Amino acid sequence: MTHPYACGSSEHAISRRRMLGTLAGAAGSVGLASMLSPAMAAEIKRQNKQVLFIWLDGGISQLESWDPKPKTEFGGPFRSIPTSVPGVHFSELVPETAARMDKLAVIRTMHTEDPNHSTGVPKIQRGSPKNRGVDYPFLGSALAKLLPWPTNDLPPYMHIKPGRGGFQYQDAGFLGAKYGALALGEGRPPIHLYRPDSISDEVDEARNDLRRFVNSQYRQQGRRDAAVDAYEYSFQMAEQLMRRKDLFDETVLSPQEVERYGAHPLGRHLLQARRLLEAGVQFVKVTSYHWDMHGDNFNMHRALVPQIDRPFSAILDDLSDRGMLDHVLVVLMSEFGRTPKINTRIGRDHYPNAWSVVLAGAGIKTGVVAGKTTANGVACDDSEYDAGHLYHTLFQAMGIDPLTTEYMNNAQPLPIAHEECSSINEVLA
Amino acid sequence: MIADDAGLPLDATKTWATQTLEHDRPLLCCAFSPCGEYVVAGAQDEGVHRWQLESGAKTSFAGHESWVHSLAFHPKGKQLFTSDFHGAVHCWNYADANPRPVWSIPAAHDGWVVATAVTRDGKHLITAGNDTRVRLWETATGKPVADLVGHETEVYSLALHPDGKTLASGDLHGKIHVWNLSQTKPARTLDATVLMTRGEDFLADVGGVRSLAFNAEGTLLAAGGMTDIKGNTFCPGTPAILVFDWDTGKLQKTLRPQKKSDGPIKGLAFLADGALAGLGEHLNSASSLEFWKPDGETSFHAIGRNSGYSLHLHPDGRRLAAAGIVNNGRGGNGGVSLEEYVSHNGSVVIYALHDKPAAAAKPKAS
Repeated sequence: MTHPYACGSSEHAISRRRMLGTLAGAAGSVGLASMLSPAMAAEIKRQNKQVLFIWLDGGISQLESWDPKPKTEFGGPFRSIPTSVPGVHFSELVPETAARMDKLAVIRTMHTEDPNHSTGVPKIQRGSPKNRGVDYPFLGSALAKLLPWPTNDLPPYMHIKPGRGGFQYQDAGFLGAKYGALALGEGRPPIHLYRPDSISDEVDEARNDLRRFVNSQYRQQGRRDAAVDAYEYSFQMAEQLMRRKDLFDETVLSPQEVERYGAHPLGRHLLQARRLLEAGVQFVKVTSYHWDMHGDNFNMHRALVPQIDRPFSAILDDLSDRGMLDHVLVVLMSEFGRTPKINTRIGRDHYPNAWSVVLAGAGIKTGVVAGKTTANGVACDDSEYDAGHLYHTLFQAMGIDPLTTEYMNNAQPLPIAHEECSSINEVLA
Repeated sequence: MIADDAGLPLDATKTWATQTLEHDRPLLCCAFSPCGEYVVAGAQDEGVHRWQLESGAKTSFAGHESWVHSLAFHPKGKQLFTSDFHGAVHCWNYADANPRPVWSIPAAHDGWVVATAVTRDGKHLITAGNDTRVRLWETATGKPVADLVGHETEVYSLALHPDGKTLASGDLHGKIHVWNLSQTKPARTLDATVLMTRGEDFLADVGGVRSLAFNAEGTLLAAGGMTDIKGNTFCPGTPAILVFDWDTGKLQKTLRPQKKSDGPIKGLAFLADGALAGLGEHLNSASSLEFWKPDGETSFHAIGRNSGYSLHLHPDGRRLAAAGIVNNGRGGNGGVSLEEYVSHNGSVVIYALHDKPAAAAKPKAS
């Protein structure tokens, strides 16, 4: 199984062992229950929190975005510009986001260990507790488990991505397929969402009965595995979405709205993400591939960074205008940053040593920068934060205490975030 | 020191590196001074770097605030014009002991100035930028003269026709506009769109017309770049030079390197015997300096070398300068040893386009 990375190296392949491990984890989730305290669960339900998780796959350069180092050995040719927060500067490539720094928190001293896509992506997105012998859930799946199940008949975890959609049960790890992501390829609804006119309600119900019967037969024969679970849950989600076709009707969008977000994929997908959040989807992930600029880094960042700057700013404004930033946590990140050293292709390579994450919204302090990198951007100057610190912080922002909340997997209690890490309090409201 | 090569016949197949002038950052552009005494380069720093060829003595000029991407000399005077990634242009008296900007244009373009040229009569400086514009300026003062409007995307390359009245400019989308310098709209457009690729899953257009050169007679225009680009991350492709018949504007030949190479042709120079030299950038693993007959397709001579970004022919017609990178061997994905974490270096390599003097003097074995 491969991911669509351009490197094509062995670093970018997902191993068969890893894949099998994921399936085994999904199958072994029987008996799992979360240990969220009743009081915490009630408060979370009251707050009705949501997440927008934006993933720039491959690794945006921190130097060409959130942590510029102009006129230094590795700084590159771009200027830095002031943001709306005095003393904080961003790259000139993100002028729109810079004007909204007062709504953001930036962690500039992410220091993770894995420089590879194939292992770095799941480590970061699963929060990476070590040596647990199970595949932890991606953040969207974790929150689908830990937060109260939505009562709005919408899937709790939806993923807008380029290419094909489908049900990504692997995201759920040991939690089991139910907590996987419903992926919307190109932001479009699942195929066959629109039932052909030739199929009446009666015929439709009859074929659904047949499907349920066959599934139950499979289960009675002992074939209760992750694939059947995934099939059932994805069908249930599709049924739910068939009642919400309005969420995908592009004719209701004004040209001005489309223009504000931009016509490129990230613009269209973030606009769709806003609509899903407005409808109440609990966790919306938006992925953009090909941010892995090993060659011609400066021309490519010049072309790509505006593709996130504009729609990211637009959705911040929209969430703010709608009063949603109070309860929507916004995360913008990659699996690592890019090397300060400019390589022989005028590119930048993978760099986990010192890179940046941007946060906003629910539970996040605004207008703050956590951590400082050295003058040449090569190292963290003070604090260093691993994925565990980040996940403690994100859970805290969602109102979940990562120190007292555990998963229960077949009678094995498991921490929801790395026990040796703690929250980054500088960015928590 | 430059070898005494007087009298040796021009022969590109005997090309050899006579000098390597090093810098502690990669060098992005270079040109010989019209007096032939110096070579000057712009770097991945804020400096303009001058070497006296005879002695190798180096002088750096301070004035830019960003990397220097392009430069051009006045064909007759002592002026040098340099341009940077912040849109600034500086004019220098290049032969001064410690040159300072004579005049400056702080914002010649909105964004990078990517290419710089001077008209053959020396009256006008021409700049091209990422802001889609080609602009003319008085070389004496830096005052604006004209704005050539027609490109719809980043302009990457410029070349002046030997007639002194006509300019070619190439852009990211592979359009080559031809301008009569007395007019501000393109007179015609040549199609080099094969030099740009936008794959279905690309997030950006990749490629473009990265270099341009006319032959001495003005009958041919060569456009350098790459075709069949694989993606927008490493951005590798198949290097190519498109040779156009100037009168008809039709593509005459597509030249390809013989050595493994995977980036655009960033430097082009027609030699006195009509051969064409092309310098490749590497975007994955290899690059080369190669020589073609314009009516051939495969090069007749190739030299593997580090990634190159700029190529210029000495006024004597017997030397080439190639600016590029010198790999210091430390880099790649992952963590680092901070003690060793330094930039790659750069160099201008001076190539002699003839046999080595000693080899030429050596009697042939009977």
